[in-house]
Amino acid sequence: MKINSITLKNFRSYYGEQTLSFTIDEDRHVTVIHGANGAGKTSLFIAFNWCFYGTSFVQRKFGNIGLLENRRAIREDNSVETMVEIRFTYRGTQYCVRRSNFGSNVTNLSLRSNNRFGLKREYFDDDASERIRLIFPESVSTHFFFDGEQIYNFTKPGNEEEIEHAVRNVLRIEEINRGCQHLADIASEYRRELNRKSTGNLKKLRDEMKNLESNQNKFDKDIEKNKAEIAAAENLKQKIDTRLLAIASARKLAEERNSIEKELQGMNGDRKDKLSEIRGLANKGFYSLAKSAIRKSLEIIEKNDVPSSIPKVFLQELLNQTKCLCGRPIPHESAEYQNIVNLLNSADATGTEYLVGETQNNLKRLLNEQVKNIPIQLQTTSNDLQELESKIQAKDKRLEKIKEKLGNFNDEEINQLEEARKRHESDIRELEDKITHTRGRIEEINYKISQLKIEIDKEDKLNAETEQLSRRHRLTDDAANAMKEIYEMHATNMREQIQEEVRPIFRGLIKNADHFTEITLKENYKLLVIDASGDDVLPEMSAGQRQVLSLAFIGSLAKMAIRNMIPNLENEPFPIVMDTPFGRLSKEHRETIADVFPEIADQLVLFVTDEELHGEARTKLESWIGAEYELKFTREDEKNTTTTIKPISII
Amino acid sequence: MEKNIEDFLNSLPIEVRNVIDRVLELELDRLEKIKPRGIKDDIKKIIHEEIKRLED
Repeated sequence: MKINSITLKNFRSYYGEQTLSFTIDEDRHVTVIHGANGAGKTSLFIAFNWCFYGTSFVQRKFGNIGLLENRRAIREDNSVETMVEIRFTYRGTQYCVRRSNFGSNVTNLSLRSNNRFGLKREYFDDDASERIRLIFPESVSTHFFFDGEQIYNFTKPGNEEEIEHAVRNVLRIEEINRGCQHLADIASEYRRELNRKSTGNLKKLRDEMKNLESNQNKFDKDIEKNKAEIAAAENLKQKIDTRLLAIASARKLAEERNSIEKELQGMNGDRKDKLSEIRGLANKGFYSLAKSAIRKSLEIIEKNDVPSSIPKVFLQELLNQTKCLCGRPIPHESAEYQNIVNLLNSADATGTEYLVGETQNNLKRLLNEQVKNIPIQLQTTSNDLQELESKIQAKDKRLEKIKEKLGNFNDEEINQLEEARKRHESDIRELEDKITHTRGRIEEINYKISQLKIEIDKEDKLNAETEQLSRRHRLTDDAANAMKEIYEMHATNMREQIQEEVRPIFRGLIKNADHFTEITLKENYKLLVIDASGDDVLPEMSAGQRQVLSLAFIGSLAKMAIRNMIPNLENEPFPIVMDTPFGRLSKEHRETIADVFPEIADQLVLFVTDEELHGEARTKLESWIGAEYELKFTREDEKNTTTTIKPISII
Repeated sequence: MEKNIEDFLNSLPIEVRNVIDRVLELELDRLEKIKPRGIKDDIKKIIHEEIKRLED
């Protein structure tokens, strides 16, 4: 971007319409505008800012600046136009931005462009404003339009905030930080929503499930343990039986007992089978209750005249040939033809007919086999069971007798063996009871587990939304954390780059450069200027030295702003406009800066007082100057001055 | 982009990288074109899209 000209019309002290053209020469790229205090330098500086960004921006930047309109012009015509027009070139396109006020606060803004191929465009008001910001963002402009006071304050100790703001703004740190902040905000929104929606029920249910499963496991182990104890007791009982069989006097009874016990084992198995058979028949008992309903259903099905199935292919063949088997023709429009079509349609329902037939057969079978047979079967099985129970009772009785006999035998060993056998039997019974009890508990647990699974499934479905929310939260949180890390890396890189840029410029501009060995920008954006003895000397630096440092900073920031803010436009020239930059500089510094500073910017516009730029400094700058003006002011009365722009011819 | 940041970005899961890329793109748009408010809604849309992409 290069600024070609600025035209002011009735703007502050500029009465009427006046134009100032800037040099765009590559070698002589410095425009110097001379003016005594109050001559209108600051008004011209304000005009740049007002034209690009409007009144509120100017008020933010310069505070209360009073009337924008020229007082004399208002006196002459209350609805006079106040206007600033800037012509500039950006990426080969000529632009003309024009902002004007008509008497009141109504502001018009237009932006006209004419590209290198002659294509002309015109934008107004908001559109124009958006375009201008696209080309030359407000945040960047701050680093190209500097006034003396701003330059002086820039590197003042304790002004870290100013530096931080500038660095963040120019070096694209701010948008990373804002992105970071947005992501963190959204992550915390998700977290709040998650907390509100998540009831914690699922965790409770899962804990309960874990508990039940652990109990089930424990009971399974108890059963295994009891089974092992039963096996041990059975083993001991077996040994006792072997011993009893070895004793001649007890052998007969022992043999009989063994045989009865074996028989009883089989009988108990049979009893179990019979009981299970009776349970099965009892479960089918409802067939008897449904007897009348089944009969009624059969009657309905049999009464219905369900057509017998006629092969579909045969009917279709008759229709195709349009004649009967007897050879009589069946014309298309005839009633016979329609009958066959109807039959064919009903033949489509052969599947239904088959189902009806099947149902009929099943119901008949149910009526004959189940409804009639079940009560008979139940009676027979019950009788069998009763008979079996009597046999078992008789066997049990006989066993008791044998035990009594062996217990009261006139032999101490047999008595003791029988006593021990009884104990083992009692232990086995007790253990079997325990197992039965534990199995009951396991069944209870299994039931609870199945119910719990249903509840967990329900809760899982309810929690699907929460799960998704949780995934979103995780992703946002991860992105926010990663972005924070990127921000830190970028900030460090940028600080280091700035240091690298500032150092040579500062050393080129400052007098006795060897005295200052290092310029460091700390993490908190505190600027340190280190001298040869390693001390930070910024607080002791003179106002002039600090201004040199500020200029070095401004130069570096402008360079980096172009590099960072305007992608792929590293080579696009950018202007630096400075109001009274040499104000606080010593004679030597003025000379050095006048000599070196023009190299930093592609176009430099300097507003200076005669005191600022004279003698050697003026001579040093001479070869860079491509345009020069003087702002002449006339005092009309106590309040009003009028500025006139007078070009100075360059020799 | 600086090498260390590029390496770091490459080490991130693709969905996290996508979110970061697009959030920065939005911020740039906003900075340069003065986009209206509602950037958080736009970011939420990005997050939803990425989650959906992951689930698919």
